[in-house]
Amino acid sequence: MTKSEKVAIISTGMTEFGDLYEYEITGIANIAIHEALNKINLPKKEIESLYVGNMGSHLFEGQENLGNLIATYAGFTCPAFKIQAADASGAVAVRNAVKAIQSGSKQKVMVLGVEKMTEATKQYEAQLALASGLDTNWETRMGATMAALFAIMAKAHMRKYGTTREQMAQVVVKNHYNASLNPKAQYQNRVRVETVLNSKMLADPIRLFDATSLADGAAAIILASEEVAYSYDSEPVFIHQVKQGFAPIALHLRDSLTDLSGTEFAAQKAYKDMGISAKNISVAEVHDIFSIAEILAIEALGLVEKGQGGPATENGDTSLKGSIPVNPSGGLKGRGAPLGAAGVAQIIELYDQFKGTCDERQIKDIEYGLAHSMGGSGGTSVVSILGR
Amino acid sequence: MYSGKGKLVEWTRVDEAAKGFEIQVPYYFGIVELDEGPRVSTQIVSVDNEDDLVPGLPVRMVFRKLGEGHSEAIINYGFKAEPIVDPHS
Repeated sequence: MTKSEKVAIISTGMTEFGDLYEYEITGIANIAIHEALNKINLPKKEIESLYVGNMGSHLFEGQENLGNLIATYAGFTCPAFKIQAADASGAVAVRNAVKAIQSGSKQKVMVLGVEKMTEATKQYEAQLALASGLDTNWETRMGATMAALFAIMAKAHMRKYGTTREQMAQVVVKNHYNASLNPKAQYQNRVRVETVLNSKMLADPIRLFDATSLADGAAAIILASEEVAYSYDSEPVFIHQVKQGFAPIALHLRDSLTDLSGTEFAAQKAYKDMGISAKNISVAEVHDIFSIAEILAIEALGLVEKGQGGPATENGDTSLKGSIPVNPSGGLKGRGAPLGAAGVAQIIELYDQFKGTCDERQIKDIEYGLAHSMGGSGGTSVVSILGR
Repeated sequence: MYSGKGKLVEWTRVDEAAKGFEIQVPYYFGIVELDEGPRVSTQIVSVDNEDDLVPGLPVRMVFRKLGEGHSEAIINYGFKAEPIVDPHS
């Protein structure tokens, strides 16, 4: 890869994640947008495009045309549009923004990931909104839920590799611990394995504490070409690779219940184009929409061997002090999973890790950082590699 | 043409229902591989004993009422799978 293809992150802004009842969607968007602009005193007119990653504003709030809505209330006049790819919406928005800079057509663009989910319990049906990322005709109408599909993957993984219920719970314990060190995280409380194992069953073996919960949040990044980046930051953090991988939307259409093939494809392509391997990754933010999803993800990304996701978690390899820290932010589970914002928040966590501003959850001596986002039960995967 | 027969690939017991399936909880849901090759997602019904549900279990597809949201909602019909208790019958 030639040097000019690197895209710099020149600023970031983010709300706390959680129940942000006092704001509507434009309100949380504005907090993230203006924090990012104000940090580098960037006039709004210098943003050439606004990419809004959002999964379900039409279902959670009955609002579409989100690009224009956000631009209107933020005071932008540049082209603005929403990118939707289920839970991977934010990451796919990042990818398209990176491509715009790489193509040379833009110098500075903003990506905003945003989701307002907590209104849904009152007005709309959150469960239906969450399930809209699945195959409606061939999964949801047959009785599928997100939890049921990940439960099937979990059972297949347990059968094939001997992964245990306790190992899945350890993912949750770790991510809540990391979140307790993250002031912007939805959950500041630590949990024990027993808490997870005694929580309400959703779809055997997935329990309530294996799942992420509804959250509001917004996360914004400003991306720039390498040429202009140094005007804003003498030591920029770069997005070196953003690869998108495909697998069929319905779990039953995939060859394997235990391999996230779309994630594997994206990761291998990213490593290859970068001339590195998984061994060069020092920290990863992965899509732990359920506890088992983190185990599947770290295997698909090659951070651990196939079948070793459970034992690696149990041994502490993925903890802050382990050989490959995973989800130092607390992940979707602990930091929170406002879906469209989640993929952008992962990038911000890695940026903060490179900048050394993560206090107690700081990872030392980072070579490369990896972000992994996924839509639905694994159909859409995005893998990004960040570095200096 | 499909014979309507297949084998269970993997399954789960759903306690928190999909929209429209609330009155059926807990229900069994899984992936079935039809004898002709294709796989489908489906509810598994007529389960006497959960321990019988193992990968490879022979099943037949049956025509059933799918979920219904409320008393005045349109009723959807479709296939579900039921275990073939004696594969030689």
